[in-house]
Amino acid sequence: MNVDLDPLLSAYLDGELDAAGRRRVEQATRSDPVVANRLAALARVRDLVATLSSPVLSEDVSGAVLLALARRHETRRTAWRRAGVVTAMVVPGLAAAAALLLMFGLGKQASALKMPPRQPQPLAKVLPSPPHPPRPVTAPRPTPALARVAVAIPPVLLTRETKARDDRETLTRMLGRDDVRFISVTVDTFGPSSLDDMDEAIRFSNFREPLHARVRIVQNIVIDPNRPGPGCAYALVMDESEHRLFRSNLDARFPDSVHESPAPSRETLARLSTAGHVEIFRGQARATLMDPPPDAADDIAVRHPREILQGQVVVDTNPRASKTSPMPLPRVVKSPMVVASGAPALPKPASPPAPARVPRGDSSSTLYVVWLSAREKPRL
Amino acid sequence: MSRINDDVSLVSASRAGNTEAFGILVRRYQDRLFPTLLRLTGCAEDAHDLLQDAFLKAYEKLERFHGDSSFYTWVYRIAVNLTLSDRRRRRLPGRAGFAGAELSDPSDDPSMTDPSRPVEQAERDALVQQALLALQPDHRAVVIMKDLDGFRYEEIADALGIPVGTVRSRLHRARSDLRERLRSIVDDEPVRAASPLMQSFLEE
Repeated sequence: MNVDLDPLLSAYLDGELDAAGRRRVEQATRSDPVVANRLAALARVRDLVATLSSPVLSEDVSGAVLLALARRHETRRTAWRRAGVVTAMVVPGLAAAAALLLMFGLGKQASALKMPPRQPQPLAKVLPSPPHPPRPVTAPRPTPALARVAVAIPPVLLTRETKARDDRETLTRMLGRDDVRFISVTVDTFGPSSLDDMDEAIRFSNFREPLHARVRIVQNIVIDPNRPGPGCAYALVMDESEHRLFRSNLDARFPDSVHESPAPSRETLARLSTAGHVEIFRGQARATLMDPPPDAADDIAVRHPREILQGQVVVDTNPRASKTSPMPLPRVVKSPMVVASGAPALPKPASPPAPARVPRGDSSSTLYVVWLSAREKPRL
Repeated sequence: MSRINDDVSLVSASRAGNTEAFGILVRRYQDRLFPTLLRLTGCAEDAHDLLQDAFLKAYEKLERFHGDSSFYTWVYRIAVNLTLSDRRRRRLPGRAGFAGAELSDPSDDPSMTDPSRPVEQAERDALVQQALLALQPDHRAVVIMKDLDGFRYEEIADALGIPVGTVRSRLHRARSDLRERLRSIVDDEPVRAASPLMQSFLEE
């Protein structure tokens, strides 16, 4: 294996190589199985780290931080008061000393000039350097003013286990509702900041339903074979118009990254929830839930620009899996269903893609799935 | 108001002496910072202390926060550098295991869980964490910032005050080292280790 190539492999995995570097690595992986194996091993190492479970902070530290700040502030105030007294005594003393030193220095200089030196030494070494004028003693720069605060460290209201159980039960209840539809979004290997971006996209979308669930997917779940890292699935309750708005928001925030694929069954989503860490978020209700169109067929039709379809989009028209199936799994068809010839650019927020047709099955519930694949971390 | 704008307002309020505003910032970001510090130190108690110290230091330096980056990125940088200084000063590579830490566990509800999986995952996590702690602190920090926290090379370089090329070489050396230490699980398992459930999504 080319030794020079080896350091490029990690950067290749991280999408941090320029085009020439990428081509070089890709050519090498195609022609040299050793390089391909090495790359795969490094990818595996990366994913092992990336999918480490996320430790949970067991207690709120804000109370302790504020308490420490208050104590520190009080200590400084006391120190400043003492420093003020000392300064008042020291400054005149320093001035007097400086005057004496100045006189002594000048006198020494004068005598040195008059008397022959006992030892021939450079004048500069004999003469004391002129004293610096006394520097004003300044009080330390105060930190932002702190009021006296009575800090109570808030008690931990819920243990981690209790909260996790409650959240999972809430998600189960959400999945059990038959008068709403769900959308699950997977952010694959974006990293925490992108999860925040995702959270913000959700916050700024209009949902009537104040709850949404986030399921952090952990190891052994591969969403995108090219990026076998961790991901998150979000379960949100939304109606048709909310879904359209949300989709256009996602397109704007994650260009080239929004995929739609068939809706998984409730059982599938429930299984997903067991594979990850469930968190429930609560927000304000801001919209009204609407019923699906009465003439909606039992399928999903989504329009995608051709550029996406040629890349990585997965589109399916698979009917929603039957609720009676013990483990219904959606069929993935990697072919476009609706593609306009020469389709132009990505949909803009102002002109969202054609609305999905809403499945109508045994019940009015519909599961929408939007997969986000992150070849590159989006720059928002 | 977006979170970033909201953060700026809270920073301004904190500078003006509103400690409760700073408390909101602490509560907002402590959960995100803690896992990074725990992975860097391997000790929940140390991570907890460093988390507090990082916020205290951030408060003292609030005047230097100009909003060039998000507040989280800024305090993250303080926390990581503080931790690295602490490790160097105490000559601690980190401690194996997570004494006192609570790791998120997807197996809270036994009825919804494959009973064999959490144990397997916990064992694997322990091996990976041990291997991480065996790395030099500077190398470990780069791996964690990249693979766990998702920062780009340029952001890591900026945070640690090192060239991008150094980030690249440290990361590669660290991953190579981890591969050697984790050879048993790296080489035994395929990269595409999908569950049957998710595998079905990928297959036509």
